[in-house]
Amino acid sequence: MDAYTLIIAIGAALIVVLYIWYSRIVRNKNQVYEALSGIDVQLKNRSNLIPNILSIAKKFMEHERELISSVTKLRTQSTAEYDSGDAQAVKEHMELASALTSEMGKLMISVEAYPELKSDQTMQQAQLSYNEVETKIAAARRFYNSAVSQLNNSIEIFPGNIVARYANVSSMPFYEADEGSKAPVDASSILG
Amino acid sequence: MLQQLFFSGRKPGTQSFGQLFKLYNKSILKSDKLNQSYSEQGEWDKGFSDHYKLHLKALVDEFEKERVSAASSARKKLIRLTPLFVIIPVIGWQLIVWELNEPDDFHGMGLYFIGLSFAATTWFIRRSVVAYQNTIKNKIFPRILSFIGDFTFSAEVSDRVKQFKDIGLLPAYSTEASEDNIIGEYKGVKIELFETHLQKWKKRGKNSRLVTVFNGLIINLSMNKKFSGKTLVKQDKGSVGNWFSKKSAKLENVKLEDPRFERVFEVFSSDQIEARYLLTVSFMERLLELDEIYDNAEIQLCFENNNLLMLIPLRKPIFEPGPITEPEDFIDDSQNLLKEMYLIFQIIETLKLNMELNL
Repeated sequence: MDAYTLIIAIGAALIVVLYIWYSRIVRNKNQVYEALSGIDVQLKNRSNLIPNILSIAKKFMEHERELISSVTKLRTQSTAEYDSGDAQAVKEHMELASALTSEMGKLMISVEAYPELKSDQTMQQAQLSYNEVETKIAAARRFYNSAVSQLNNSIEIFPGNIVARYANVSSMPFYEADEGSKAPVDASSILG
Repeated sequence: MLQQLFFSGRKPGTQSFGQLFKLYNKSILKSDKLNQSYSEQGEWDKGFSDHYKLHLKALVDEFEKERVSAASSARKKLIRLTPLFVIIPVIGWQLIVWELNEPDDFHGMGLYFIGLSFAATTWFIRRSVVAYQNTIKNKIFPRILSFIGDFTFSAEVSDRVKQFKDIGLLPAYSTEASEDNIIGEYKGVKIELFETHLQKWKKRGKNSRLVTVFNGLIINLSMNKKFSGKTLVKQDKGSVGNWFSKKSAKLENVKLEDPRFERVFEVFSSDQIEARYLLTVSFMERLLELDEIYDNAEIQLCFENNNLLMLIPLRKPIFEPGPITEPEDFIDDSQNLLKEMYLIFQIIETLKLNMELNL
């Protein structure tokens, strides 16, 4: 084998490695999009549920108008169209979704202060459905974060960083739990 | 604690060869130790002593007579056929020697003769014992089970595995021997379970022989969650084994966050989100706990059609009556059965299958 053949063989091997890496990045990117659409399906389900909860809540929760209007506003914002290929837009979309989760959490806690509302059958059913949707959102978030972790690893480790630049793929943001759920719980405030 | 409960104190019945030879002892035909009362042992049989008095004690005399009759019949056969335990090995040995003189044409006929003759003799002797044990299973086990709820029990089950054949957990098999089908409900969770022994013909050289491919418990539990896809939780078999599992099941590999869970199990699903909806972080933790309870028995799960199917390999059958060589009082039968059912209920409690929410 002369030097010329050796260079061709090494070049071919390099092309194969780069192609495999490239296809891996594209596969990971597509999985992130799939996971993102999974989240959106669940967010849409939640969004459809919220008006029902609010309409029941409004009847009883006279003193929570601010909270209710905040939920309504966030719901409108979080259902707005966004560019799923733009990491910044995805990040903002996730932040809105998290903020809505946080506000809805506050609303659900407030329900406890209204015994009549708490014992209302329709409200109880709505709360169960809401919890179910939140569980599905959590599952979708876990899938999304797992897909993002794979994508980010594949484009941040050499030669992935070079391949990603040519393939025009950038890292994506994680969907983090809302700040409210991260904060330590003050048991005394709940238990009275 | 559960592990101790499950693996200790179980009497093997008359399955072992050693139990068969206990039949030589004439004292087994004596009826003593009767008129006993049931003393409760723990959480799993709390309140059973009253149930025993009401539903079982009255049957002790009748069944003790049946036990003595079955044991006596088996004992007579054993004594009459005792010469065979000498004759069979002698003939077998002659066949082996004869075959060894023709090494090119050695088929192990002598060994086959010994094995088959002993199996046939044992089967003939144990016939009355098996019939008696089946009576216990069919008549007494349902009475014991009525203590824990509305459960049905059938000792004989046939062709039961077929419906689970295509789920992607069971190995390919040629023969099925299933028994002890229990159906009922616990805290709103429908339970159906049975024991099964699956074997497959395998070729070794010129000969074929049956090899056990699965021996254990199949449990089907209803879930209070609705799901449309299919999710399999298998034992981790390394990257090559997992790749083959993925290809054969035609499902996607699901990578979960818990590294301890990932070391023990490998998850495949038709829906990545649904798999995570079912396998929450706490569910994974509970499954690891369950795997420890069963002494790392290589539990496998399938979530499909709003049901959870579990495969638990076992070293020996679990729903068996006590030995025929001891006077009948149904106490050991009750203890064994209640312990086993308690363990099944613990699966539901541990995995919180009765809860609607994913806690």
